[in-house]
Amino acid sequence: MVVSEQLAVDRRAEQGGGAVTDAVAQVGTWVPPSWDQVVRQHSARVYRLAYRLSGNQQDAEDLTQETFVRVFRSLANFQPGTFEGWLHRITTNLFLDMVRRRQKIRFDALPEDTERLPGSAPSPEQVYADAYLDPQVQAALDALPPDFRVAVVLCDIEGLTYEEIAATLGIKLGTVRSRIHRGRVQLREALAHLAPGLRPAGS
Amino acid sequence: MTSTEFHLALEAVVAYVDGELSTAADTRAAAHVASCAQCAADVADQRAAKRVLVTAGGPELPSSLLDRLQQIPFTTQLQPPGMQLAMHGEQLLWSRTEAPASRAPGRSAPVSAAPAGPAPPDRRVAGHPEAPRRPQNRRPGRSSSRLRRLRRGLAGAVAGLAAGVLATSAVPVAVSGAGTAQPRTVQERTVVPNTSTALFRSLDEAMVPREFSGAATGLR
Repeated sequence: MVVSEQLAVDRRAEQGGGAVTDAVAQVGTWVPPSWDQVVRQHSARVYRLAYRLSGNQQDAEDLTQETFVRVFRSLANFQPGTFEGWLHRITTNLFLDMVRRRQKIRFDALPEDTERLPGSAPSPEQVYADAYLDPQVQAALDALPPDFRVAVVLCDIEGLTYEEIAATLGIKLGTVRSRIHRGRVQLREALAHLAPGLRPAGS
Repeated sequence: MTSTEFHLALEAVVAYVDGELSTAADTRAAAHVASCAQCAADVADQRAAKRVLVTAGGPELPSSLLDRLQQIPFTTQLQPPGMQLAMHGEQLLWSRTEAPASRAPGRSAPVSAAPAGPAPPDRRVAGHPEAPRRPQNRRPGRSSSRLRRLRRGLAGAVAGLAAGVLATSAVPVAVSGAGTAQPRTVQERTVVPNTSTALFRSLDEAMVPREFSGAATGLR
């Protein structure tokens, strides 16, 4: 039922309402993706970011789910050309919000209004995936203060520019540089303890 | 004078490692690093940490999570009753409205969400919700079944419509990089039809990272 409605809307959109057509006229042929396509295109990257930030699968899944729920709810406000930045911003803000909430109330839960799905035992594929996650790297990341961790992860794992990081986090460029520098210094110190072999010679 | 009489600021070291310096500054930094053991060591440390992260593997997306994400249009209310998203400082949070969520008369969205032109420019600013002005005696149950039907229908409708807008994110021109900023007038026109805007009018505008569209100039 809902599926057929969605398809009907997709067809209407393809036939072109004025605003939508204008919005995409500049970029040529336009085929509207389904929600399924949106999820498939972006979910792996959002999950990787959420995992690197939170350091565990349950939180990463919760953060990813909540990110996409908010994307879905706010799709009407989306402006083309900003989607990945939008995802980064939602995910990192949700993560920092989660950290602050836990620091404040020391209670391991997401907000009341979040549909927290019941946890399940990790499947074999998840165990396999986690085993290839460089646990020492993740442990070193987990040792960083959250603000530093976010800056370093956005830079080195997500490949964002300083300017994109500044926009994502709402901080100044100088703060971005400082957090990345200090974050990397601390990361190396943590790795030196966790995995001395990763420390290059000469330092 | 020798170049070892001074050292690169730490912020310059990190920007040098990440290629975030201007060409001239990058050249100067490279020359200094070539002749200063201390700064060369700082650069090497930063590069080593960066390399560890860049080369680290990534987690596999659990298939059960993928299933749940794909079900979102069918399992998610568009907005929790009585709640709205708003910016509190830098944080985007749900907050309770004083009255149950209701829509102004005449602005209820019809189920047939045919495109109807650009939304009005006076879209609501996050942090200044209209909640306090809403009638206090509005009861939640009054139109809830109608709203529920509406919501269910629009869950699919808005998904299709708004996801359609997303299509441009896959087009090279719109890739989130520097140099693709479009004139603001174009940005303002790329909005969804009135019907969806009415439905979403109390959703948080600040979720849209407009800074990105304007942040394409600067460092590099």
